[in-house]
Amino acid sequence: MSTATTTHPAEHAVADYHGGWLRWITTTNHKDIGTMYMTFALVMFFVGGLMILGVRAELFQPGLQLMKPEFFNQLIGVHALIMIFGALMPAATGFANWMIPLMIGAPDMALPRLNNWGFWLLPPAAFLLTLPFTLALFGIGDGALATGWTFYAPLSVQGGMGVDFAILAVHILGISSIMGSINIIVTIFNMRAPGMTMMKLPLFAWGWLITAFLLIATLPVLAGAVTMLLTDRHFGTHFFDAAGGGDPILFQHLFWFFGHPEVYILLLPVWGLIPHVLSTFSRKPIYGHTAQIYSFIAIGLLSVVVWAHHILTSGLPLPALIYFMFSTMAISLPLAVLFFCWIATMWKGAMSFETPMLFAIGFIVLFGIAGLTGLVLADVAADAQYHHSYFVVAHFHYALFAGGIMGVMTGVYFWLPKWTGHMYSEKLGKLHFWLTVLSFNLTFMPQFFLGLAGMPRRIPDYALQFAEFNAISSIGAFILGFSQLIFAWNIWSCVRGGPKVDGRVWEGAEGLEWELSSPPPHHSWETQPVVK
Amino acid sequence: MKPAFSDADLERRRAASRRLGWLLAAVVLAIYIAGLFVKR
Amino acid sequence: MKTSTSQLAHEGHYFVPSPSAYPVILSFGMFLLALGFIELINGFPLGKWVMLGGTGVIFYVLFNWFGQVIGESQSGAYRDWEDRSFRYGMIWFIATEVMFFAAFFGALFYVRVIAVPELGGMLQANGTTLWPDFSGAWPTSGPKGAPFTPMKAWGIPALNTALLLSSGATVTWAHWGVLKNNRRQLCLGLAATVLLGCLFLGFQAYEYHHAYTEMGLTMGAGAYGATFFMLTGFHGFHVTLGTIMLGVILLRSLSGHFSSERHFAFEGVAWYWHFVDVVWLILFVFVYWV
Repeated sequence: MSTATTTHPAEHAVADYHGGWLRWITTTNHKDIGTMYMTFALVMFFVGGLMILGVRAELFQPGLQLMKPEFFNQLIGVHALIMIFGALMPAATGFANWMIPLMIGAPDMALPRLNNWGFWLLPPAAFLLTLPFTLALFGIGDGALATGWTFYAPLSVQGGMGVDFAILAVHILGISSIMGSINIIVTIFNMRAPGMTMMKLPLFAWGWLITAFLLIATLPVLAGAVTMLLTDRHFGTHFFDAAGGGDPILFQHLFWFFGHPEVYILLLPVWGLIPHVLSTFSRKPIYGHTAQIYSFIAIGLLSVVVWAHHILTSGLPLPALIYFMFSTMAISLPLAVLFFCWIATMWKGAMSFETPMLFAIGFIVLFGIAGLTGLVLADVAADAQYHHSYFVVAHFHYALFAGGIMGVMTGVYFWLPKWTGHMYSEKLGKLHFWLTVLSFNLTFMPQFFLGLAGMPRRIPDYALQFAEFNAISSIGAFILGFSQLIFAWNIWSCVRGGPKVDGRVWEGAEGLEWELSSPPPHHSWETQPVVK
Repeated sequence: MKPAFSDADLERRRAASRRLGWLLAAVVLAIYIAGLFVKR
Repeated sequence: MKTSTSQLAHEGHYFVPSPSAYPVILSFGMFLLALGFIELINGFPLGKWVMLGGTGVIFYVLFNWFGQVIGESQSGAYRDWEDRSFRYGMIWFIATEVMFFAAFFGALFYVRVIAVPELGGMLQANGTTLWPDFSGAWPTSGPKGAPFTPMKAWGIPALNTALLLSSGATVTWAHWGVLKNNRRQLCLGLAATVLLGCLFLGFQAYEYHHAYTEMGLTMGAGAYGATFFMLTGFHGFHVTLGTIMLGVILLRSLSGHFSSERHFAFEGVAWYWHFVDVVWLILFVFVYWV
């Protein structure tokens, strides 16, 4: 590093840039890193999707057709870990990398090398997670972890080598998320343009700020929990073994102390971006900016004190059951404020229905179903019936596919023209939306009925009475899976070319990010703008 | 790029979203009131 | 926040480092370390060498990456704006460490307050139990655990508490030194802190040896052994890291780095050291004492 570079880094860093593949692995630029996160997320989305299509193919008919139950169990667990840690979280971090510096008027993220490290931890972790599948083909070990993504002891204590791979993969993924979170918090606190107070901060940045705090509060606990699992497996400790005075339920508490906030970690970035989309295509300012900020904070605080509603049937004392039921239901209050603000943003607006707007509205409706069914699951008495049934599967797919993934798709269609400087195909986008939303409901709506009728989760075979709904669900899943090829094609052709767009892209768009050209210059805000 | 909307068109859209809002509110209210008469 | 943002406008460009290959190499080293570890614990002796290779790569990167950062710092690349980023970053990094220890303290409180008493009280609660002789008193290695002697608080642990508390004082004295631009006080304070850290680790090693060879207190000694060794072990690991970091800061101080205005690296490490200190106090109370 020469002195010249250090005095005027912004001008010289462009010249320092490598070409070709070296550019990508050595980059310190927030836009390059954001692009790598988004690309990684898209690839993992298809990897995790293929796994679950195997599962749905097996479940198309009763009986065992395609795979052994052990392999079925491996597919569902790795599908979940890949979709959560490989697709949704990297996609959200990619958005943060791309958009937060643009939105707050910063030249880059606060800690650019750390930013690059955060990304490059992901590919090795994904490799570790899926390596046992390959090793099993060569007769080494018995495949990936077969416990489901929750690693419950004692099953995970007894499981094969795949559990060790998953534990170490989770450690590395956790370090990646923590580095990303620290970077985002520091960027938001330290890199805002003069005049941009915290209350003027765009909602997307606010959503991510709370997400980052939740990651910092909970991911280390998951790391601790899987470390205890590792020592129980290999170093003779008795954390989760009653014979030594430990307790398997302890693992469930530790896991869900992380696992429940994780739901909000996946959703808060989306809740942050949805208001921007609604406001843009309603040609109206965001309704209740301040109210939404306080709702994010309330949800963040509540989310770390409600974890045991995931284990209401594990045998908790009655006062604990009542506390966790009511505190869980209390989350619906700030969430209702958000729903109200979303709808009020659209009300009396001059709405137009481009693809991002369609996805945003689809998100509100379907995520609403997730919220309402969640209230049912939080009820202690009702949960005794629903727990570990397909009702739960349907509920969290409404939350995490319709809420999480469709929220990410909203953001991708909304910001892709900003990133590439080209407009995507509106026709293909709309086709993708309608195929997605219809086949999604075709896949998961029947699973509510299956769960109510008593079909348990995580089984490769089932009673004959469940056959019709499972067949419908499988058909829906395949349409849903293959519709995503349109999404990938649309992104690819938009990156390659297409009609040029100007900086503002959408006529109703407001915010600093739209003041820059599309695509934005190498160092986003070379000189910080002043916000009035 | 997106098509430009005329002022008249934007006004028409504003009116439509206002009407739809009231309609949805009425439906929700109707469901709420109907719920009061459902015997458990 | 208001004053800090208005300052920014006058400071001009933020330091954005040039492209760097260290992050991706570090990730590769960590991958090798993880892969080798998995191989080793699953009975593939090759794992040792993979772990060794990974550790080598990690050390190579740490040495060079931190070297580059120190070089940038010495060349004056970091001003108030960048300095603030590092401070915020370090604070939130320590916050993640707090939560990591919270997981193990949570496990300790859970087994002591809920799991063990429940196992001991099964006969009264359910009218039946697998372990009629198990009383549920702490410390315990569980209903099926082997007998062991629990660690007493008022021997080596109390001495270690005194050592760490005085090391907190010496590092603060060193901080006063750097604030006054008194390099002698800075270096002496740091050297004393490193020495106290090493003494702590030595006593800890002796205690572990004693526990394993004479007291029957091992990681396998039920809930007590598991929580004891995980909490003190991870704490000891953090003391080791802190001592190494303090050592680096001492070497930098000896070669004339840091001034009364610019000494974030010193402060970051001092914060870390105080954090390790506080964890020990909680640990002393709940693991050794009560």
